[in-house]
Amino acid sequence: MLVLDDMVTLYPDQLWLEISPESCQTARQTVNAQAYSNPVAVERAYHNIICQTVVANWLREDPDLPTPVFWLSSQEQSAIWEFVNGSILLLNTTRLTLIPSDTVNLDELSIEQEWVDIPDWASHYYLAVQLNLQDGWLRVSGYITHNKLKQQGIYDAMDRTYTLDQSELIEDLNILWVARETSRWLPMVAPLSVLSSAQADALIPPLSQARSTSPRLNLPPEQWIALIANPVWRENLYHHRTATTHLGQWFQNLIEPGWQAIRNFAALQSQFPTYALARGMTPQEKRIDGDGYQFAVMVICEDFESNPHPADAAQSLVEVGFIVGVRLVQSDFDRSHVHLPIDVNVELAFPDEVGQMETITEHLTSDTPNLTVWFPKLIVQSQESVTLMLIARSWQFVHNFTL
Amino acid sequence: MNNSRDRIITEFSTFCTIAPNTDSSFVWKRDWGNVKFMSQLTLEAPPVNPDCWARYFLLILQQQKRYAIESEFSQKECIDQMAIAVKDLVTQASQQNRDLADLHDYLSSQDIHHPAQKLFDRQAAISKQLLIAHLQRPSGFSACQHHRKLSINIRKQFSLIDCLQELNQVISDPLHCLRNFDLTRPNITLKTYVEKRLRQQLPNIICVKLGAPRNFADWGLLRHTTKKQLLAALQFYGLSEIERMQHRLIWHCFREIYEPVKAERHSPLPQPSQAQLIGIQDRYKQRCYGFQLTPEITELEVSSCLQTCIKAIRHYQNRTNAISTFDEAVYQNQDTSSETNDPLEEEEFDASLNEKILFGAEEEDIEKDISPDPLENLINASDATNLADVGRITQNTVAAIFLALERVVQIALRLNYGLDFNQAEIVQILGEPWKLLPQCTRSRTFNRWKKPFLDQLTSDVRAAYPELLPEHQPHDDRIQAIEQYLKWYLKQYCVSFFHPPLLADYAALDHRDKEALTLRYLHQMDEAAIAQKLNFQSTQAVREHIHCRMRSLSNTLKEWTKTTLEVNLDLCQSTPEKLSLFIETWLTNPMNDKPQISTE
Repeated sequence: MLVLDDMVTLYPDQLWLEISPESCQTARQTVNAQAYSNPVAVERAYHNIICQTVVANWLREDPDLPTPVFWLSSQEQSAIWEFVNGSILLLNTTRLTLIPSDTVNLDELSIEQEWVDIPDWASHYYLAVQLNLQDGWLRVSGYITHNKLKQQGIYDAMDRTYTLDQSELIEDLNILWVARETSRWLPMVAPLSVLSSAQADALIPPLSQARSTSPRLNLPPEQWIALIANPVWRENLYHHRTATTHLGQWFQNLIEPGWQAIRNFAALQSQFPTYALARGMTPQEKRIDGDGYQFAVMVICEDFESNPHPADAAQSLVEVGFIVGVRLVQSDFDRSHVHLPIDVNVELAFPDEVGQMETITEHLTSDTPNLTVWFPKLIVQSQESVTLMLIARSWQFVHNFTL
Repeated sequence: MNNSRDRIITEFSTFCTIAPNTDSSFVWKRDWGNVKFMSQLTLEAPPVNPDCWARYFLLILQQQKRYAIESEFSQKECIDQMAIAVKDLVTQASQQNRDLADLHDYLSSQDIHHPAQKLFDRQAAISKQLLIAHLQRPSGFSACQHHRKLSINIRKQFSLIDCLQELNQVISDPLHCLRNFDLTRPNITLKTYVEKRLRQQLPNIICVKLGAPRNFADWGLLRHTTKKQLLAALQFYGLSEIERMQHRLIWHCFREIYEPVKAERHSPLPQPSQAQLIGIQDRYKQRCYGFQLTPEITELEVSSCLQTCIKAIRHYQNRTNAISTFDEAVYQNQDTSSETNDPLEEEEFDASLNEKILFGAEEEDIEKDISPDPLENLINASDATNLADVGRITQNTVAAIFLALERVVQIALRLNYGLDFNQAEIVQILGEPWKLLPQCTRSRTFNRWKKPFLDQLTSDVRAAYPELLPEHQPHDDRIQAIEQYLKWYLKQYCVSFFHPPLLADYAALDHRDKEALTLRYLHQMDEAAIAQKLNFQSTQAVREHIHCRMRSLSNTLKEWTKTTLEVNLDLCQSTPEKLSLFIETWLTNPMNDKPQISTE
């Protein structure tokens, strides 16, 4: 096995930085407080937060360099990481795009087209960052200028990235610091194609449905780039994909937009003798189309005792129970013998006591009449979110709950 | 047989491999089949150098690859294609390729039964084997040069023999290894290019070999492979173009969707869950239309495609190494090679002694090529001619700025560039406060020197040659060239710091001692010959005598470092080895101001 000192010996010109467990924990808490539509986006955000924080801290400590500034606010960055990998740091007028990766194979660097071809996103420099969270370090394995990336990067239409050999990168960042002081140039980017508001509005709802992957490959490249480049449309799409319910409102029987109270409440109450229903809480359901059927996803959230955090009274902990059901819309819940036409996986992702995401998966199979899943009680802290995901053959349902 | 022809035959027929039952000895094996083939090939050939032959073999390989699949070229058509390729090269860069045309004219004009005609056979692997032989020296040289610079921890896990085997593996596919070699680029030989490439690749090879095994079990392998590697592997595995496209798309979908669940630190990544496989299948069905692929695919087929990708990558990674490929191909394709039962002749050397014995003039050629060529290219490209000026600027800058650096940085640089200590070893030598600092703080301190140097140097170069660093264009590549040049000068500066005590100690030796050291290190004479020449009683006596003198020089160097830099080299485990290598290099180099000893 190799230790950090060995790696520094092998690549003495590259920048090596330690990542503390505290940085990881803070990044995990930040991610948990943000909404993402799928686990890949959650990990992408986690990596980007660690990467930009550690690199920015290191730059901040260098007296010879201007103080680094994040290009976007934390909220705006979430809307980027929902779709693409990377973040921008500004050193006065110089823009650095950090491209983190947890791959162990550094032979090539792939940069998503958005960072290169959107005029507002294009940077002077692109830095390849390898993260090794298990051993607690990151390295900047090299950088490339926008011009060279456009000239020498190979555009891959399959994943819409520019790809380069590691050997094309300049390893030593000292060269970048000198070059930025001795040259004044702007990345040259072609203007984007025009997308009308009406077109954008029509594109957003379908892109909000398939949430297991980033929608960046679901539209023709010109259309996608024009859509995502616009901050308003981007935010709009992000919010559509990461709809979040505040549990406090739910507990107060406030009906969320897009949800509806369950009609046959009395029957439900007799079938599920829960603490929540006994207290008069209204279960809610949401309709989903898929596989030629209309389904209703029913959610009952139970809140048990709320305890103030021993160390910080302002940070409350709540015990929450989730009961999730799926039914065909033509059938009622009291007819529990009606089978589902397909199998459905029900997943609940939540942060454990150290902030790592845990997932519980249950199966609703078409050959059994059981249409509901009772999840064990979870302890949720303020700002943390729990993601409910239903995965069927051709559709997915994702919803975030925060405290 | 004249010397130059003999050199070419040897060049393309000897292989560097490992002596059986040893862990540090290399063996040169000569293949008599190759010797015979090259002997016939060179019989009346024009007097071109080995690099020209190697370029020609590379061109043949490129042509063979180009026409391997689609076209059913005859030998005659292959020869015509070669003629076109050679003509193009000569037109583009006549100076470095002028001999290629002569060589082609000679080889292509041979009788149909002459071995030369075999080169133009679409199926023949002989060019590859000749090229592999040519690249043995950069491979062995790189293994020796770079292995000794690795940390002790790495060397414990990755021996010199491992190093050689891995580098031989790289050169066993010369077409791949030389894929970015520009035949029109001046001032660089194939061997120099390969040495540089191996030098760049070695750290990556070590990382892969010694990295976390969890990443290289099936699903880790698939997750961490590169696009380029996957494509090459699928091609190597023999999939058709449409199959490759389908597998690539499925792999892309896998990369989009596969997020492994939290696993134990060293356990392999798990296979995709059922839900992920369904997700991959759905994603593929969404995207296949854009690539004219069939949407008809089952979940099982998705899983099978991913497994095929894993197999293909493994297959590609485990390509047979140079020697076995060589044996196989030569004996299959060359009917003239099997006249003797034992076609390989062995000459064994102890690699731990000095690689100069192994690589002879090669080392100097390669070192010369490595050093200042980036700036030379830069100057050439910019039509500025006075390279010496830039050299002088760099030299003056190094001397002026070095002494203004923080003392600890001066010490670190002298130890690093002068005696080849790495950062971790320097920290051991500097002692307690440094050991406690985080890596990033140490790195920042040790690397802080570079920016002021580069600032000053860039400003000086810009004043002399403003066209080299235009203000309104990125010129990072040029600053990188300046940085390499700077490192080269800094190394000379730091190495020379340690020469005076050696020179003084050496001057005080008696004539016989000086003679013994000169014969051993400058003239690479073995101990038996030295014993005979200088009337020692035995080779053991020579060994002990030289060892004693070397230890004395080493102690002198250690004391000098202690007095001048105020550091204790004994705090580092690898000090004896570093000093020994430094002194050997100093003794080996005739340019180090030592009084010359007559050994006549």
